[in-house]
Amino acid sequence: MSSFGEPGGPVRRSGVGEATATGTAALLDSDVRTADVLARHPEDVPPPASFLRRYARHPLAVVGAVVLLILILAAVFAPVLAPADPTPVLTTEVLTEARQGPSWEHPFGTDKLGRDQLSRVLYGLRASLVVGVGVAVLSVVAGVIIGSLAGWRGGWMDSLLMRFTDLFLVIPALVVLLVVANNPDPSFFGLFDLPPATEIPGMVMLLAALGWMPMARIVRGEFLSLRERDYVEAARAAGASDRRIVFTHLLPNTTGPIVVFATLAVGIAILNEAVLSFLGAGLQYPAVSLGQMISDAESTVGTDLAYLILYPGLVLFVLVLAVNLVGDGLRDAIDPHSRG
Amino acid sequence: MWKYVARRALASIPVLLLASVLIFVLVREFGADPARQRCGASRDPVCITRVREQLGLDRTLPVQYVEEMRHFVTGNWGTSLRSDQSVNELIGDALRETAPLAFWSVLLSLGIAVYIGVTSARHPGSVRDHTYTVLAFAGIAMPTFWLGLLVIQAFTYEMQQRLHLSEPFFYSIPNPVGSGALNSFRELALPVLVLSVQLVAGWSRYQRSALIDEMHGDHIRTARAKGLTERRVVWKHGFRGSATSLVTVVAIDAGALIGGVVITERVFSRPGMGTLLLAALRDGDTAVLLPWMLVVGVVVILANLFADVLYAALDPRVRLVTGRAS
Amino acid sequence: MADDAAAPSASDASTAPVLAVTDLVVTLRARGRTATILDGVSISVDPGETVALVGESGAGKTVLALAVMGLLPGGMGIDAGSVRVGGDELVDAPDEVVRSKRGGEMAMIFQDPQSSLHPAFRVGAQVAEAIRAHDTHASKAAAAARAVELLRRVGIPQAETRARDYPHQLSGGMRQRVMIAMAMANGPRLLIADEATTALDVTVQAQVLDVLRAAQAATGAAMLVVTHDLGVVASIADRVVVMYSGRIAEAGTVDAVLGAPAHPYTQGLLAAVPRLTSGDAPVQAIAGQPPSPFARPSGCAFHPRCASADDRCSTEVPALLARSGAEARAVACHHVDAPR
Repeated sequence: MSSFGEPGGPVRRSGVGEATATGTAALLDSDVRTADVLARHPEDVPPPASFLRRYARHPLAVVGAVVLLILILAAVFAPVLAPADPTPVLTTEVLTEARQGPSWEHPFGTDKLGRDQLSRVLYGLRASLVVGVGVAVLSVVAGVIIGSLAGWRGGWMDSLLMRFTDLFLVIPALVVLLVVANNPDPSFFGLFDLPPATEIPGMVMLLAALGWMPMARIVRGEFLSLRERDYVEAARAAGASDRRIVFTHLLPNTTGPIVVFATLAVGIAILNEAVLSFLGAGLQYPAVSLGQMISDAESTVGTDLAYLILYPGLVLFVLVLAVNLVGDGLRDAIDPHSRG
Repeated sequence: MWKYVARRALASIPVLLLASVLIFVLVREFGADPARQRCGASRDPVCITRVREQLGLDRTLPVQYVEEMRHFVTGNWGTSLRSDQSVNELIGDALRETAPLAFWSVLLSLGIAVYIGVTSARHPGSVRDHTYTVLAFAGIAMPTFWLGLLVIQAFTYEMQQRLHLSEPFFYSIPNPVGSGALNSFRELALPVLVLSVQLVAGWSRYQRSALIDEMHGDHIRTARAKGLTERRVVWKHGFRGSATSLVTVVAIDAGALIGGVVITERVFSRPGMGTLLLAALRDGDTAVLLPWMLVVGVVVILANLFADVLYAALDPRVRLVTGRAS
Repeated sequence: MADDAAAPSASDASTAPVLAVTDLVVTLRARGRTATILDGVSISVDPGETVALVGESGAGKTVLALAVMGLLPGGMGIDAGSVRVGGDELVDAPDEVVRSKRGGEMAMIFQDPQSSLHPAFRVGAQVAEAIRAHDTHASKAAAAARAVELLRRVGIPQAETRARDYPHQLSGGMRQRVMIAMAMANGPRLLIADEATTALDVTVQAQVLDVLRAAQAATGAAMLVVTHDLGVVASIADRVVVMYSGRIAEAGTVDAVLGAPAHPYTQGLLAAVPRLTSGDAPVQAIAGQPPSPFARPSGCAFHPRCASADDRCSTEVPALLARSGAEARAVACHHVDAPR
């Protein structure tokens, strides 16, 4: 922390305490907090003006974004990139390809049934991304609607909606998932049929139904505090309609937390689907899932076929890691001051 | 302060009950039918009706629920709908399996997380800090079941091969014939490792930001102004302040572990609370599920309370707020 | 050149100053930019003397105090100059040397006693810690007893019971007395008070100043009082140094500087103090804002706000020159003898 005898030039006795990588010096409470020096004259050393620049300050976030982009492209172009059919009819032709380690023909090898692993991983990646994004979008939509209603209206509407939210929060998600996901013909208390969670649409709906609550709370919190701001009072006094205020003033100012939540939700949903599929309560044939692949390969531990566990898991891991890194970078780029 | 603690405990009970009702209804409505399971392959409708009557599944839901709760409160939790085993025994055995796993994981993770967190916080932006940050992100993103399988592959099989051992040193499943401390160690080492990766990843980040925040405080500057060594300033003054928030998180996470080791136990075939849950869900066995949920709920509540107590013990300002005379 | 004229000390040449700062340059490096916070400041304080360091927020007074103590925050560093405490050079001394002086030979009290005391330790223990940091042979019991004695000496009633209190259980004035006790624990030769009374009620301020005065009288310590409150200067200081934008504008005895200020800035400061006798006359604030260290005006830093400024003021930095006359005085202004 204190370095003396730096090469070249006069000796510089540095301060105690950290000088962070982002360049903002450590804070001391006095009339000359270094950050105050910066803040009192913000025109002098502001964080980079453009969002992209702020994001680019963190090499990890940039790497994450690049990797994520590659994975998304791989998933989108899976039909083109896959060397073989991920769920082929098991002809003898296919079966004879079984148990081959990684090679030029089968870069990720083949499994006991002769299915090309690279193709399956690509389609599994696709499923993960669709589920992740789908759950995030649904959770955000549901959470924003409920949260904004509660936060804007307040009063009994707020209480009612928050009780409703708390109800969902109380339910242990894993238990519900395991009970419901296994059911091939779920129905809403006999009233109408629900899409089963063994396929992607059903899985997305189920995970979203258990994941919207934090978004609702966040949005509600933001709205509650934004409501008291001066410009909202002014707009109300000027006679602006509720809808106008919500859409022009409140929502745009909440995009930051919404985006951050959405990114995190993608990662969480991907992992949840993988865990469910691993436990056998998730996506089933004909859908291909990375978790399912790992589950199928579980018995190969300690054998020559252990590569069957490695590749799907590796892709899953890298995917979630990239999503998390991007989410972290977004959080800092959107609000540089929320850092700890 | 104890009044405050007691009040909080009581407030959590209705929530727990509500959750238990929801799950009960959910499992009865959507879950597997234990009667059908017991009749096995026969699918004989006569058998099913008879068993349903035997198990009391033909009564209305509220009646069934109340009956279960009565059992729970009196301490005699009845028998499993699936296997007629004593539920008290089932849960007791499961707890005995899960508790050491949770205990050692928490202990190991706490030590490592504190070390990593404090080191990172003292030199933010350094190479070491960045490395730890990447590792923490990796730990958070890691699918537990995959990590478990990799760990087994590496430490059970590969290690045996490379070192030319007659049998694996680290067990991937419990060893029923062995006993004693060494055997426990060999059984627990890998699952504890897997659990710890997750815990350390989260806790170290938390410790890091808690300490960074703490070191910005004026009292740290005063400590330095007194002429204390940097080491003392960090550990006695800084760490102490960060400990309050860390301890809260650790206590809550540790409590949640009792019910949260499902994947790890599944991968390592340990017959603990997680495995019990999976089996009960698979069988629609509410006789086991309800006490399971309530036991886990009580443990979580106790852990949360413990967190509150620890917090108050570490931060004298809190005691005053909760009404104790100064 | 400016050294001798910088801050004329008490006439007795055999009393070496406890604190001697010479041409100190402190810079802040953040986000690739460098700002000079202190631009060649010199100051000295003799034993038994009280020097007040005055200026608006951001002038650099606290930074100077922190630089002396070796407590500059990360990002700030001493680029040039010398700091001698008790005759020992501190600027390129090893950390150990500076640390051993902190709390021992030189001590500092800070602005906000609420946050400056550790919330989780009893006040007696915190004072005792200061004692044991410098007297390694003191037993816990002995240090605790000495701590109680110190608390008694700073005027805390029922010191023995109070020593077991936590900081939040004490009033603001009490807390500051504890800080003073902590600072005086090892009989420092230099005591620095950084806005020590700013956060306190006016009546309590007077009490705390009394405690400081008494402490200094008892030990013959040199005292450096950093403040923006001219009332504090008048009541406690022998000499005053007026700082503006990292440089010294004027220095001299309190009577001379406050009675007949020579620098336009000092004149402005004094004119801005509201007086009971001014009736309804508007408060005369100095026009403009203090400049950011990143954008210091060329020449005299004060020239954009100065009524007497001319071309020379905007190009040439005025040197701090001693004025001849009955009282030793130094002023940094090109128009120091011009009629107002």
